[in-house]
Amino acid sequence: MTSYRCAPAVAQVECQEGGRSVVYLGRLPDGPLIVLEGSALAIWLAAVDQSRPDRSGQGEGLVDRVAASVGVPANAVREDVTDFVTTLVRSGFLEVSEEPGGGTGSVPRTRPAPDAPDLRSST
Amino acid sequence: MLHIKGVAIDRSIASESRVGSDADVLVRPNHIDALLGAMRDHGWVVHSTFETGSPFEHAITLTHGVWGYADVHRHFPGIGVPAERAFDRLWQDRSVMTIAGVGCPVPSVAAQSLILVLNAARAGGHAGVDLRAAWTGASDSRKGEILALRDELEAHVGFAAATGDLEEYRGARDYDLWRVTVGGGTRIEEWMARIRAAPSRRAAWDLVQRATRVNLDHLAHRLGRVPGRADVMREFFARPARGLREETTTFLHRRGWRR
Repeated sequence: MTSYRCAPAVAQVECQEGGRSVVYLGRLPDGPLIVLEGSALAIWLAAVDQSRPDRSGQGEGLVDRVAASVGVPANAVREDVTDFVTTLVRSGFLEVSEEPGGGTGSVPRTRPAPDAPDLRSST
Repeated sequence: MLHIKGVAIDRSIASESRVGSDADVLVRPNHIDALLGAMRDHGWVVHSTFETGSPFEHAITLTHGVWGYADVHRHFPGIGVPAERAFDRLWQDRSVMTIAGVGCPVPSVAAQSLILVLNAARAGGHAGVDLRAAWTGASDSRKGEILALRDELEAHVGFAAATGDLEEYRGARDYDLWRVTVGGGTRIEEWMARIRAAPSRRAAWDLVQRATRVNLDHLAHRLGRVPGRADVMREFFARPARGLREETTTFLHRRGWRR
């Protein structure tokens, strides 16, 4: 089972700006610094939340979580969610954890992020 | 290093209205060079040096394209004991605060209060806010802790400058420097105060020599570019004229003359 978690060298600040929730993510020590809001924030929160044990026991996937949080069918967001999560992993903000058999008690194996593109221009 | 001021201040003494625009850290003095080297390797650029940043020569300011400004302190203005000893004392009582999801060592709350009070003497319009949060609004037991630390770190003069009791320290070596810092003064008065506050004759002589030189950091910031030889030459002759004008204006102002 693939799950994600915030990479250890990422600083994050959650705050309200103009009545909207935003998250600043900074990859230490060199950057980049990105700001997530709206759908990008929904994907981030669903991704880092997925790294916690699944309390629902329903095996709810990342795409389903995002779809549920924005109130649209999973098929409508699947491609965008997958692309954005891939970008976050490549840029070193998210880490991939492979949990054999989907067990929640095992220590996840982590895959280091490959060379990260600069997200500043795309966010 | 210890994170001080700004978001590193404990919520119990932080003022909601104070929003920082930089990060401040106090670094163990013999680790300064290593830290600055590492920061330069990661893209940090010097904005102003220890010597040119402030009359107390306490911090170097660096800037980074992503992270903005950072003030790296080698000591804190007002603390009288040697910097290494002061750091050891503050480090001894440290705790860890989570800032942006990262654990950062910070001084004890009493030490943070002392730092805020000392900072208030130099904080201009924010002085009242910081002083209320860190000192006048503190409980008796917290005040006792702050005063004990003030005594231990020999921070009496700076503390008095913040609380309005500076006149009790008229004979102190750094009295004039704090008087100019709190009440303002001309550039010549500031240099004279700095020279009087110097800890040794050699340090005082170094200051006398530096007083005549052009502050290249300030000149570069004013021009918005790296100054050339002609800029430096022009500034070299302009400074005494500006200093004289300041002295004359201040002299007339103090005697009640108005234009």
